[in-house]
Amino acid sequence: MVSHTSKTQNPAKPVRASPWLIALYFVAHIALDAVSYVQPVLKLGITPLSPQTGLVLAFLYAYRGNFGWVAAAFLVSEIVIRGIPMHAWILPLQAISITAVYQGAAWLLRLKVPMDGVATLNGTLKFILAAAVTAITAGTVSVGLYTLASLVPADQFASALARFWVGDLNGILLLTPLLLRVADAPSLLRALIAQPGAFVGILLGLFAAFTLVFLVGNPGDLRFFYLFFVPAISAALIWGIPGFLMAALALQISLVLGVQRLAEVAPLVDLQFLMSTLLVTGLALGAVVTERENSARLALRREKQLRDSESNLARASRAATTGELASTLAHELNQPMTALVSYLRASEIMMADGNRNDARLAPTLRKAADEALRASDILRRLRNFYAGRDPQLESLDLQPIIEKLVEALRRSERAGVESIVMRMDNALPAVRADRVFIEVILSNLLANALDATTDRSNAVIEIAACRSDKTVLVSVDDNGRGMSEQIRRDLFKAFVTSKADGLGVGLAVSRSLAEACGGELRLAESSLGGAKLELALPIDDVRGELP
Amino acid sequence: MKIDPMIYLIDDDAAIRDALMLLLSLRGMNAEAFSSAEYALAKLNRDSRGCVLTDLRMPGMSGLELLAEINAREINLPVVLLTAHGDVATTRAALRGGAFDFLEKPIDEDILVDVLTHAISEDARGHQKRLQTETQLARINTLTQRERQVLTLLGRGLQNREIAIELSISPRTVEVYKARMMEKLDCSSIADVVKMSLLLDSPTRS
Repeated sequence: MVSHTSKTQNPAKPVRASPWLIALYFVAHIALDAVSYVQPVLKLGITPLSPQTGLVLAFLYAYRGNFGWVAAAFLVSEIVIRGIPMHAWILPLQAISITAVYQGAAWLLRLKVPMDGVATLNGTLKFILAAAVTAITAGTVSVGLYTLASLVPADQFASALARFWVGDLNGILLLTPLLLRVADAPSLLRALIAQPGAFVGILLGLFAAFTLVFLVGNPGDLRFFYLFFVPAISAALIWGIPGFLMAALALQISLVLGVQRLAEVAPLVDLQFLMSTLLVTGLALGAVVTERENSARLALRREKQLRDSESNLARASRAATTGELASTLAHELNQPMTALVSYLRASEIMMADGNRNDARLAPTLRKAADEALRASDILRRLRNFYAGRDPQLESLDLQPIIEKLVEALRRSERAGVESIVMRMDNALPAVRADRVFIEVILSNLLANALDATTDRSNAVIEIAACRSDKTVLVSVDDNGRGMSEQIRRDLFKAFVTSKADGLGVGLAVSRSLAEACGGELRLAESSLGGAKLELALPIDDVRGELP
Repeated sequence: MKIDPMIYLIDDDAAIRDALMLLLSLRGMNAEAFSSAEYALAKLNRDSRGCVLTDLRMPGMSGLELLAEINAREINLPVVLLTAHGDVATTRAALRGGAFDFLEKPIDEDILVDVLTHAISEDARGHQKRLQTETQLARINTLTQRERQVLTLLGRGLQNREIAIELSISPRTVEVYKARMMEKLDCSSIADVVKMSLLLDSPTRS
């Protein structure tokens, strides 16, 4: 998988190159020309191999205001590599006109075929077409000038042009995208490492083809060239455009080496035409692969965004339901409680009347017991509402959750909330828990603490979080009225409450939720004089154990 | 004919109906249970005496809707609502809608009996007052044109002589009409007469 930035907007405006970059270009241009000066026509710069043209186009495309430098590079390399020919006047003219062709090509590419497009099939085909037109224009201008100057005989014009054209074309097709997409290198490297088998296989394939084409049999025999297609096309299929460009680069270098290694004149022109075919095929194929990868990645990202927003929605609606649930629950629980209390009071009256043999007494008491069971059934249903669904365990940072809850409490209009103290370890490890469960538990604990301290003038509520061995302990402590011994004992049972208007459901449900997350909710010794409850949650193994 | 006050208990929950019926009967109160507001409305009419004790949240017609319907039909029974805990908004709406009182579930039995007793006596008092008004209106209807005029003017605080001038009759004649009118209306003082004159303006009977 190789990532690309496939922007649809226009590419960034070209900037001025730094002097260092210009110098680097200059040296690279001359060096590339020098190494590729093989099998020239009549000792002129007409070779079937011109990688410098790819460099020129990339340079002019990416940086502005370098016309003079490029023309100078053409001129200097001509003089340095090939010496001054008889008609010296032709050199500056040729350098300037070729530079003009490439400057125009760079301008057109920028306008019509931004290089970001060389990640889609459409953009890549346009680029190939532009490269072919550029090369033929440059060739016509250049070889035409040589012909006018009688450096090239008129009857050799066509073959010289073909030689020139294929050299420039291959240079552009290979080097221009390679240089302009240099940013893909890190992700390509990662992709190569991810599939080492394929990488080694393609290297072996290139080597095998090289051996068959140049080391075995008749060097002029190009039947084996097609073997190069196997590794090159494989690279395109596996890693898209960047992978193919790397393979093609290796192939081009090995072609040059192979040709130079041969004593006799090998048909480099024919090889280069085959190379063109391979480049066009590979680029088009690589573009298809890259385009598909990009759209798959885009679809994946969209899907993830959609999933995220859906789960946010579900979370929000569940939070809203919690409030609604409280009201429904109050009604539902009140029904059996009302009946239960009434039956018990009726029984009491029957007994107080001194008529212990009232035939209605026994059935009334049995009905009272039934109502108590009905109430506990409703509570079980409530537990199932949360704990019955599988907890969605995820890696959670407690700090933002706690901060958000405390913030919400402070914003609410409850009395004494300015006295909430947060005490949290730095670098608290992440826990593995269900976010909604944790929010319900902690808001329950905080609400209890608030209720217990409402009638105090100097109320203090402390919420603390610290690491303890393999768990994170979150405690909520207060200096409220505390709990009687009996309440302490039955604390987590349903319907046990010290509050005048409480149902006694909060802690029982909270404990179920904590246990569903693999955690624990327990009573601790208050250091503030009120009540302290402690929630222990397991540290997330994956993230939590990092030092 | 005297009708015994009745508590009309409405709750969709069978256990609550059963338990409250038992409790109320033990406390010596007459009660009748209905599983829905619709069933209760079929039974209730203007002659029903006692009070209504209804759950707020029920399938079909809710307690609030029942209250509105009772008002609309001029059934004139105090309505006590049973609410779930902390249902402030509904409670406020109930009181604004003319509910007699509301009780939170689970119900404290002493408070329940107290509230119901109050509601029943309130109903009895209201009923008594309505009966009295009706009797008085019936009496007013027996007055002649002149007697009615004298009653109206006395209600405005006019003296006999002023009434005589107003009606263009002699003060003696006014005295006669006044005596006859007070006899018909069973009034013994001018204060009673003024009270009766107020009924003339009431829109109940023309």
